[in-house]
Amino acid sequence: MSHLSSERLAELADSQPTIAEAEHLAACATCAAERSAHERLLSLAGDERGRLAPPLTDWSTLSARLRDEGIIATPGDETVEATTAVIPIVAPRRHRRAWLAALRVAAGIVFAAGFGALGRISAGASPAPSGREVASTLERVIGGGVDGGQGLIPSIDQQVAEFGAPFGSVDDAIATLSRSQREYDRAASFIAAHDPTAHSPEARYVFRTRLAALDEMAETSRQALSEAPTDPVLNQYYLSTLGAREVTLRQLGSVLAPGERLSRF
Amino acid sequence: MGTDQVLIQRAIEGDERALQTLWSQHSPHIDAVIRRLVGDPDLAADVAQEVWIQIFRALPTYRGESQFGTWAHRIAVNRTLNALRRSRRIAKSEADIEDDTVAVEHESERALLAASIEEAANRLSPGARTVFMMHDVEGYTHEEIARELGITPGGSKSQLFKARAKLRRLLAHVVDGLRPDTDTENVAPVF
Repeated sequence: MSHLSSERLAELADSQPTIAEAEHLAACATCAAERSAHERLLSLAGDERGRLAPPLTDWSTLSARLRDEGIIATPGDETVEATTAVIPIVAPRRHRRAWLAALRVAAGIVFAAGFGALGRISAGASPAPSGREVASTLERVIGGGVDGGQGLIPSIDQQVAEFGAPFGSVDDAIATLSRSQREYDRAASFIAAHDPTAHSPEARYVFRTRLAALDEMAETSRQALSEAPTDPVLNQYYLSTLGAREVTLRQLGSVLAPGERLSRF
Repeated sequence: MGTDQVLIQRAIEGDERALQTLWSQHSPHIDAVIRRLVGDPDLAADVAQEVWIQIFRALPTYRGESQFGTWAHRIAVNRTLNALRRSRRIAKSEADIEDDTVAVEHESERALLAASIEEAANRLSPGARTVFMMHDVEGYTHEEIARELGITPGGSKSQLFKARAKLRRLLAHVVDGLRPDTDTENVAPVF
């Protein structure tokens, strides 16, 4: 029997030879080696599926399109309705949205404090911030009102005194919260992109430590959500943690040594 | 109710954070699929945006019968192929693969060895690359490929084996340098 054609050998990478072909492959080292080479090529191709690549899209552009198409709900927009009733609606939609929007800011505050703690852990410091540090973080995020026994959130009178008239409506307030949320996300992305940690020799270890911590946070939130799937606070923490986890994964991917790769994410 | 369903439900309701989380979680894989199928980076970026819009438009039809990533992957492949058809890349593929395979001399290919599968695949005709990527990388069957591309399963097989033969030559240094059961890559820890 003559040598097998290159295309037939390529086919035999994932199929069985006929009896005559099998006899030839057993006797012909050249064809056997070629078949093995095709099997290795097939294995390499399979590995490609798990390969991660930098995104082709960016959220700011994509979100603008989604907003134009009405896929991202805007405050007061009642046209985007759920078509599957997976989550029980326990409150009027507008009120629930207002509640969720407020929670976003609250989660942002606590998450900022959480990232501060993560940074401390990465740096080898105690994870527990002092009361002054918490107050300082809150001050930076919400702009004051945390000292002197005045409570964490300024009263309406305090807000009026400092910022002027309150919002004209709940929709106005929600719109402001949404803008703030987008700014928060934008700033978080910018900080992640310019994180000086990425340039240090220990970056990969820092990111792995951060990732492990975020995994624990996500798992804890996930377990809690299995018991209270509609809890808005738990949902917000879970979403924030997942977002931070993905940012960290991308950062880790950017500091891997040549030849290294993330096997999953 | 699974947590993914909670996330998806919130995305269906238009919650930007939930939509962004889905995008953030899945774009490394979805965008990689698009990049592999399209080849050209500029076109791939355009296609990717349309793919994500389509995924989010179709979100209310997601029933949770498969993993979200699997469902989104199917949409990505389908929409990418549609985009390629529009750019007439697929339409030319049948003729291209014949010319391409026959015309390239073995020795001249050796002078143009590719550094990676992605680079080598970019030297295939668009049709051959599509079949190779769908079968050997994405795991589609010849029947599925035939349905998606409007060709016969036999045509899909023929293109695949020609593509593999050419890739084997383009990647000779990579394939011949490997030994069976030897992992030459450092794999990041599994998280």
